[in-house]
Amino acid sequence: MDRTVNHGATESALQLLERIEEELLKTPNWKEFSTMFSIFAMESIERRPTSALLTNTMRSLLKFAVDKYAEGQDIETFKKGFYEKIEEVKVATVRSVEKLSDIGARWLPDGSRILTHSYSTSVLKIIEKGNRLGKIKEVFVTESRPGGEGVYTAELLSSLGIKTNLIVDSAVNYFMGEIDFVLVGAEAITAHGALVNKVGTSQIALSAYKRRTRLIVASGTYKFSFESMLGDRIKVPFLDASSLEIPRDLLKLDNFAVSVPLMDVTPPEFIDAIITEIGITSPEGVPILLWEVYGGWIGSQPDIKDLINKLRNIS
Amino acid sequence: MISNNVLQIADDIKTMKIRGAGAIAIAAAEAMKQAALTYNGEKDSFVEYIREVGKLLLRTRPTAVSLPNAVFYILKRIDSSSEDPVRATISIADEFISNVKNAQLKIAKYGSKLISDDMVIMTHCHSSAAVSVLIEAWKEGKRFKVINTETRPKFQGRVTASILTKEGIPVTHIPDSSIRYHMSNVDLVIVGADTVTSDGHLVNKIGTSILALAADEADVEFYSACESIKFSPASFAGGHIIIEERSAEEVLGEHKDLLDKRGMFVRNPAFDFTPPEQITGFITEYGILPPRASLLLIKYVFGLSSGEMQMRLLEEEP
Repeated sequence: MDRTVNHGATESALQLLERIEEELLKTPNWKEFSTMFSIFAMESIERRPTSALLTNTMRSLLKFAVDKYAEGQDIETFKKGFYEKIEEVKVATVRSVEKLSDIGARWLPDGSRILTHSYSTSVLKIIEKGNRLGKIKEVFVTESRPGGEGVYTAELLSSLGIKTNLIVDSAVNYFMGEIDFVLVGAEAITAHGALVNKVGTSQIALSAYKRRTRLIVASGTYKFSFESMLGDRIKVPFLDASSLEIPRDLLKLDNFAVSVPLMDVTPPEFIDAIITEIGITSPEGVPILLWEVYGGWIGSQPDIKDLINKLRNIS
Repeated sequence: MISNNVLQIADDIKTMKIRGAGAIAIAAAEAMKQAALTYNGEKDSFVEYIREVGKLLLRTRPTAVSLPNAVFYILKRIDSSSEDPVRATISIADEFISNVKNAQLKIAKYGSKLISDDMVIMTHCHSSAAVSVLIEAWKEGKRFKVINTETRPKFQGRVTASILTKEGIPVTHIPDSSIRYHMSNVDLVIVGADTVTSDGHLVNKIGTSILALAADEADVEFYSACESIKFSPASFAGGHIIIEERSAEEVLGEHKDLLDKRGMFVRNPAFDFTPPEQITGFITEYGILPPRASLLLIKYVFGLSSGEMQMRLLEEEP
């Protein structure tokens, strides 16, 4: 399976930035740089269209390149600046995770019994810091099929000596009565406050809502996506049958098909709070924080497709 | 003395040589019948004797639901029969066995009426009763699609997918985590049952309750196809249904070395509870029952006092 599937959105984005540094900074002129970067940007967004962090990062890097070219900057000077820009984004991303996990760990109640799903850098950091403060009683982790990243999460948490209970995805409703709150990461948070995350999140949220158990999302503001306010719909990627390791004798039967969505959408009414690096907000607070992050109305942000087209036209 | 063939059946139930609710119920009834056929004591003490046989059978698998139902189905009717108790036992046991064998056919007939063309029907795990409903509807010429879950950890959904596709029914197989995602396209849910309580809770394969909750949220009808032997008179008498938690290896598979980590545990419950308010009906061989009317079926088939008798027995000496 593609590694991007198995990793959290934050980790994947950081890996991608490293690849950009490795490959793009070797290009000798603007033409080659712009051709390669436009393909690179398109492909990475297509591979993980739901990741707002990826989209937001790409937008800022594309804008940087388009602006510098327009200013008439020579390629060598540009590449130096571009490198610095990437480093800046990387540092900012890591710093955001640190800040939001400080806030999250501070928020954690004593004796926390937490349910988490899939793999999230931010969630792991919060629990790790919370554990250092002696606040964690136990953590329930779903397998998170397809992909099974939950097994990895359970491995990491149990290695820290945290009492970790691995459960199958279908058992979330069974255990909802044994936990204090649900803590999940984010692939993206729309301007409407809906959460896009690994498939299974929305039924955990439904179960939590039904039992009046709180659902908390750990997400840097860099995962806020304003595209929904511009009419873009969320396209959930689907995996093929190999993601479920279906036995061959079943797979070859007529009339047999699989449907394996990678993400699902949790409505804002199931979300109690979002822990960001700026602070803790409600889903309804997202547009306010978007204003804060972008310094004004989001409509003034450039469209990523326009930026890619502009870059392509550089020759 | 209790005859050897009765003891043999009891032992086969105890050692799990006989498995599955239907098979256990039939075996228990057969044991009662054999006990009557081989009885050579005083006529007056037969009723006491057959009760002892019943107790012996009950102790083989104290938490099974279909086994006491077989026993009490027979005991209840011996009491009210005008026939000679020995002959009554034999004919009632035969009647019970034939009812159990025919139950699924009736369930399929009633259940298939709920299905119409172009429906999308979701099911979970593998239930022969639920499958029989789907196959009956398909054979009646109705054309629908089925979405079925993998059902971790043991993938019983693969069995269901294989059976249905071989009948020609189109099946879309999904991971358990995507139940809510897919529910918006579903018209009807049909699952099986492990046990039904007197207040209308459904105990069934882990994941059933999140399926019911997602169906409820999406305003989709949720049915459980369920023979009468799955209804628990003991729950009427305050008996608890204990959810078995199974081994870590079932979940971990190739990752079982993770258990070496000091904080690592696996919680692997086999069943969960679905509340009656999320269930549209139980499709039984006696008809489609509103969930909160479960007690009516228990009264009709096994008698209201059967649960009390069972619980007292369990509370007696081991």
